[in-house]
Amino acid sequence: MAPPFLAARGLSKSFGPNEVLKGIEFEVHAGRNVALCGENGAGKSTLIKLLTGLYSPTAGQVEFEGEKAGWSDPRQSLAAGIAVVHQEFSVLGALSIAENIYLGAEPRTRLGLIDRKALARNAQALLDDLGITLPPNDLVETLSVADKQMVEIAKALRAEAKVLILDEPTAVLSQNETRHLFRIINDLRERGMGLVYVSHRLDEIFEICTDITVIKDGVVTSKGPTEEYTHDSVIAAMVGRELGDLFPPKASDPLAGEQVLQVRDLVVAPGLPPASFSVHAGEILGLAGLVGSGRTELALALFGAAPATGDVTLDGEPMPFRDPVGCIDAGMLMLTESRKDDGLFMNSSVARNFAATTPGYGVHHSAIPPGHEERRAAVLKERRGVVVDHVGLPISALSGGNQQKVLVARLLENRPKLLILDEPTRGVDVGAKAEIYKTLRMLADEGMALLVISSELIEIVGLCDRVFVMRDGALAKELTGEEITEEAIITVAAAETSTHHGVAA
Amino acid sequence: MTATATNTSVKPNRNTVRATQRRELLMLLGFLVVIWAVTTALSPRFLSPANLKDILIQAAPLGFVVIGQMIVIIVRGLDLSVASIMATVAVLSTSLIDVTPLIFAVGLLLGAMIGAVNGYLVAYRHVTPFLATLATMIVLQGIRFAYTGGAPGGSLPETFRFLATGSIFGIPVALIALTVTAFAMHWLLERTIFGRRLKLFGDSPEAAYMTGAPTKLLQVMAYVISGVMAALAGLFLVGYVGIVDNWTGRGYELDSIAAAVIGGAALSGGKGSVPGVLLAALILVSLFNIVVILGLSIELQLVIKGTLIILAAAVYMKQSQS
Repeated sequence: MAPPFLAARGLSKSFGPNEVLKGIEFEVHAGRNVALCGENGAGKSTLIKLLTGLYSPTAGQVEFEGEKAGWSDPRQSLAAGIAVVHQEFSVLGALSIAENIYLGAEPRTRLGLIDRKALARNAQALLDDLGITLPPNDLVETLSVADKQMVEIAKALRAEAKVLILDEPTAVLSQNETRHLFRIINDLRERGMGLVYVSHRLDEIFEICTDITVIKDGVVTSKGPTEEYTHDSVIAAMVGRELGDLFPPKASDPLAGEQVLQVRDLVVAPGLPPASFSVHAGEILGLAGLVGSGRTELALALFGAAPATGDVTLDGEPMPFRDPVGCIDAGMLMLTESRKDDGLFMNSSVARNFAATTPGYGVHHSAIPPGHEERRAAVLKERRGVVVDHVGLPISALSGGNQQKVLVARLLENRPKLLILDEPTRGVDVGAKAEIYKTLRMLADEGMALLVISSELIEIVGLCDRVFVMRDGALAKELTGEEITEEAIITVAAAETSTHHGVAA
Repeated sequence: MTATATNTSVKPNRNTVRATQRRELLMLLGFLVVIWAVTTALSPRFLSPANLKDILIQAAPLGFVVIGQMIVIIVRGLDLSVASIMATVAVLSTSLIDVTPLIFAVGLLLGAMIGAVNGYLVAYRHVTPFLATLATMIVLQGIRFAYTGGAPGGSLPETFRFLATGSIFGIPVALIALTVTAFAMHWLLERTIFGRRLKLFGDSPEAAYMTGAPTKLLQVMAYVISGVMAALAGLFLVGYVGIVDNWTGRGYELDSIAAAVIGGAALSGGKGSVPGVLLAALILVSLFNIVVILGLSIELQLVIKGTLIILAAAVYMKQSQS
C-alpha cells in the first residue's frame, strides 16, 4: 500500500505544562475522507495546526507521502499540497469571486499588472471543474453564506492540492447547500484527493466519510473505517456516553400549562402570511425549517428587535413591538444565533458578560459594590459547569462551548417567563450539549415556556414537545408527540416552493 | 486539567480584564515619574512647588475635556466639537451675564444642549460621529463669530477669575473642581449600571441592544457629558487666561483625543478609565512645561506628542494581543 498523503506519527504537543496532544497516530490516504471527531477542546484544532505547520510538535512528526515533513510555516504545507478551509471565512466582500480565489497569486501580464482576463478565465475553469455555478466577476459581499463557502473551497484548491482539510464546513449551511457541498466533496475524493472532515454532526460524518478517527482529551481513542461504527459507538468514544443519554425525557402533557405567549396574526414582513400560535408554560416548542425559512426573523420580531405587526400577549399583557428593552422588562429573553455578533461582549470579563442583562446586576438605582459581578459569577463555576481559571478573564479567552454556557447561565439568572433560544448549542460539543438540554428541560419543568430554533434536526426531535416547521416565512405545519421525526420535518421543510405561500397553521 | 481549575481559582490571575487595566495605569504612572525625574535632574527648578502648581492648573481644562472625550470614545464615538464648545460657551455665557454662579449654570446648560444635538445626530440620525461633531464645530464657530462680530469683549467678574486662578488652603480651585468631577465621573463609570452599560455598548452595540440596554439614550448621554465637560473646561480656561477669545481652547479637540488614547481609551470602543486619561493629560501638559523649562524649541513638543501617541497605540495593541 502506498504511504498515506499525510500522517501524524506519535505526534505530541504541549503548551507550557499542558499536554494538549499525546502520541497521536493519524493518517489520510488518497481517495479517503477521514472524519476527525471529538468534543470541543479535545485537540482537533491543535492537530490541524500541527498538520499544516502552524505549530511545531513537541514530540513525534508529521509525514507527507511517507517522508518527514518538517514544515514550520503553513505556506510550506500549502505549497506541498495541503489545503485548509477554516471555520471562519477569510473571503473579502469588496473583491470579486475571481479576485478572492487568486488573492496573492494573481496571474500577471508582462508589465507586472494583474491580468484580469486570465484571472477570470482561470477562476471560471476552476469553478467549472468543481461544479460551482457562480459568475467569477460577482462581488463576494453579494453572495449567500453558502456561496461564500464555495468560494472559500475554490480558493483552497486553486493550487494543485493532495489533501483538503475542512473544519466544520456545514456549520452555517442549510440542508440543500450541504447537499451541494457533499457532491463536491465526494467528487474530489473520487478523483483521488485525501480529505479530513471535522464536524460535530454525526449524520454527515456517516454519510460522506470513509474513515473515522476519534480524539478525546488529546488521545486517539478509536479509529477505523466508517462501516465499523454506529452513532452510539462514536459518541461513546468521544464522551463515554450513549446517544439516549443526550436528551432528558419530554414533558408528559406539554399543553397542560397556561398559554404564556399568544401570537395572533403576526406579520414579520409585507407579503408574508400572518402567523398565529401560542407557547404554553412547561413546554419546549421547536421552530424547524431550512436556513432562511424565516425562523430567526419570527423570533426577532417577537423580541421587538425587528419590525412587525400583529397581536402578541405575554401572560395576557399585550406586547408592544418597540425594542428588546420592553420585552425584557415584560419577562422575555432571547439567546441570539450568533454568539460573537450580538450575544457576547468579547472584550469584557466573563463576570461582566454574565451580569450584563438588566435585572442581572441584582442592584437597582444604587452603586454597584466592588467585586459584585465577580461574586455573582462564582455560580458559573460552581453550578453551571463553566471551565475558567478566573471569572475576571476576558470572555474571549474561553472556548466556544464555555462561552455558550455563560450565555445560557445569564438567561437563567433572570428567570424569564418566555425564553427564546436561537441555535442554543451552536459550535458546542456533545457533552456540553447534553448539559444544555438538561437545563432547558429543567426550566420547562419548572413552568417556563421555551421557544427553540435549531438547524440540527436531531436536536429538534430529541428536545421539543411540539414543533412548527417553517417554509418561506410561514408556519407550514405543526407536529406533536410521535409525529416529530426527522423525516416528517424534512418533508415539510424542503417541499417544493409554490407561488402561493402555505396557509399558516 | 479541568479538575484542578476550581482549586486554583483564588490565586490572582494577571490576565484578567482588571489586572490588565491596572498594569496600563502603572505604565502611565511610571512614564510620568520617569519624565519628571529626568527633567528634575536636568533642571531642579522643574520640581519647585510653583512650577508644579502651574502644571496642575494648566492641566485642569484638558482634564475636564479628556474625561468627556473618553466617555464618547467609549461608546465608539469621537467629539471634534469640544474646542468649539469651550469657546462658544465662554463667549456667550460671560457676555450674557456677570454673576459667577449664573455664568456657570448657563454655560453648562449650553454645553449639555450642544452635546445633546451631537448625540441626537449620532444615535437617531446615524450620522458618523466624525461628521456630526465636525459639523457642530463649524456651525458653533459661525454662531460665535456672528455674535461677537469677530472681537469678543466684556470683563470677567472677580469671583470668576478667582475660581480659575485662586487657591483654597494652597490648593488651586480649578484643581479641586477637577478632582471632584473626576471622582464623580469615575464613580459613574465604574459603579453605576449606566456606566457599565456605556462600556458594554462600546464593546458590542448589537449585544447591548439585545440584552436590553437603551442604546440610543446611552449615546446621547455620552455626548451630553462631553458637552458639559467642555463647557466647564472653557469657563475655567478663560478664567485662567483672563480674556475671552473666539479661539479659546483651540487644539483641545485633538489634544483630548490624543490624551484619551494615550490614557488607554480604545477608539474601537468599550475601554477607558478616568485615572488613565487624567494621567495622560498630565503627561501631555508636563511635556509642554518641560520643553519650556529646558529651553527647547516649541516644535519639539509636537514631535514628542506625536511619538507618544504612536508609542501608546503600539503598547496597547501588544497588550490586547497577549
